[in-house]
Amino acid sequence: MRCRKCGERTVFSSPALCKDHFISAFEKKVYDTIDRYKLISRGQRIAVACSGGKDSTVLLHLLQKRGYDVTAMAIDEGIAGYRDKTLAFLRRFCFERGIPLQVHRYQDAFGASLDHMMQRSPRKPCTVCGVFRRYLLNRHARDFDLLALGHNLDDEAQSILMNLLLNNRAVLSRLGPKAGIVEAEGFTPRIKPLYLCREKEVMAYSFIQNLLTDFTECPNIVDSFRAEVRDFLNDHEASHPGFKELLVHEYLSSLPRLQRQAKDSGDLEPVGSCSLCREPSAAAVCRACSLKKEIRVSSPERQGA
Amino acid sequence: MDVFIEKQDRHHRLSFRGSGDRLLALFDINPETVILVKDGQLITSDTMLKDTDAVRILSVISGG
Ligand code: SF4
Ligand SMILES: [Zn+2]
Ligand SMILES: [Zn+2]
Repeated sequence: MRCRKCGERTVFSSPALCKDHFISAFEKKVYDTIDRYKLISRGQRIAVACSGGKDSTVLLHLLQKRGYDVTAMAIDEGIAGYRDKTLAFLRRFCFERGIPLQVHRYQDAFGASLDHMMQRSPRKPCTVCGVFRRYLLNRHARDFDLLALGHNLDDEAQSILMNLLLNNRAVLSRLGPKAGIVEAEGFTPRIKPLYLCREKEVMAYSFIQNLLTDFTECPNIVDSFRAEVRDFLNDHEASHPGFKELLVHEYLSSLPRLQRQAKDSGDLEPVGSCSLCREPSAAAVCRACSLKKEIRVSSPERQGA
Repeated sequence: MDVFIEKQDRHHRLSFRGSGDRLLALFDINPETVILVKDGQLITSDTMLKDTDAVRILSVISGG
């Protein structure tokens, strides 16, 4: 297979591009997404949610490369043998490039690591992990204008299909490259500049640019509904190339209607705040505070309180 | 041929000639979920491989 632009040896097959043309096409796709969906205005301060994995590292690299004001923000759940490794990579990466890095630890915020919490809770680790991670990201992102997430096209295709299968219209109306249509107080807008990049493209780019750490996998990873949908989409993609892109593009063209419907049906009521921690929450007590109580860990530190 | 499958953290030694696609099929791996690396270079799965090649199969799916 030869590059469709210059005839050199290809590094990527769909589209068929050589190394140099793949790099420029990938970067153009990300920057065009930012411009087309007006994700970032000049001068905005951006927190990039970083895990040390390929997606968020590629995102950080590309945003810094274009001269945006970025700070890497990582959450250390306390997962021995996994997060310590990915964070060591992220620390080195940020240090070498002079990118400010904030690491917020479960241990400091909740008085226990995820590993420790799991010794006293029957809950699934990913449930607890997700609630506390969103809580910390949301709270610390408030010091910034935007929170950038490394979600790629595969992540989004999975979310779309999962929420279609569950007929979850409220969530469907909130996906998209600029997530969250509720301009609620206390929520920093979330942007997804890698929105139109397939996971395989992100991986190829990170390999070529040497942005990869050794492969590590969270020991808590289980066969979730998301994993099932992901495998289905990848199998389907193999027999029907282009399906994931089609799904996301069809979703994007329906998004204005989904958002209108959500507004009309009252799904987008402004959120109130948690009576315990004062973070935004639709319920009287937010999920983080009720989980915390259930697992009996100490109260999250309050910012400025 | 030496094939390293990163997700399994395992080397496989086998006698093989053919395309990357055929190699992936042999291991029952969906090409959409991996990238192929030979001599430190990214290759596309239609690339013809020789028995003396060393190939690394890297997983695209992030781990958690
Ligand atoms: S796999 Fe689960 S426990 Fe591990 S980092 Fe992801 S959400 Fe957290
Ligand atoms: Zn080219
Ligand atoms: Zn709360």
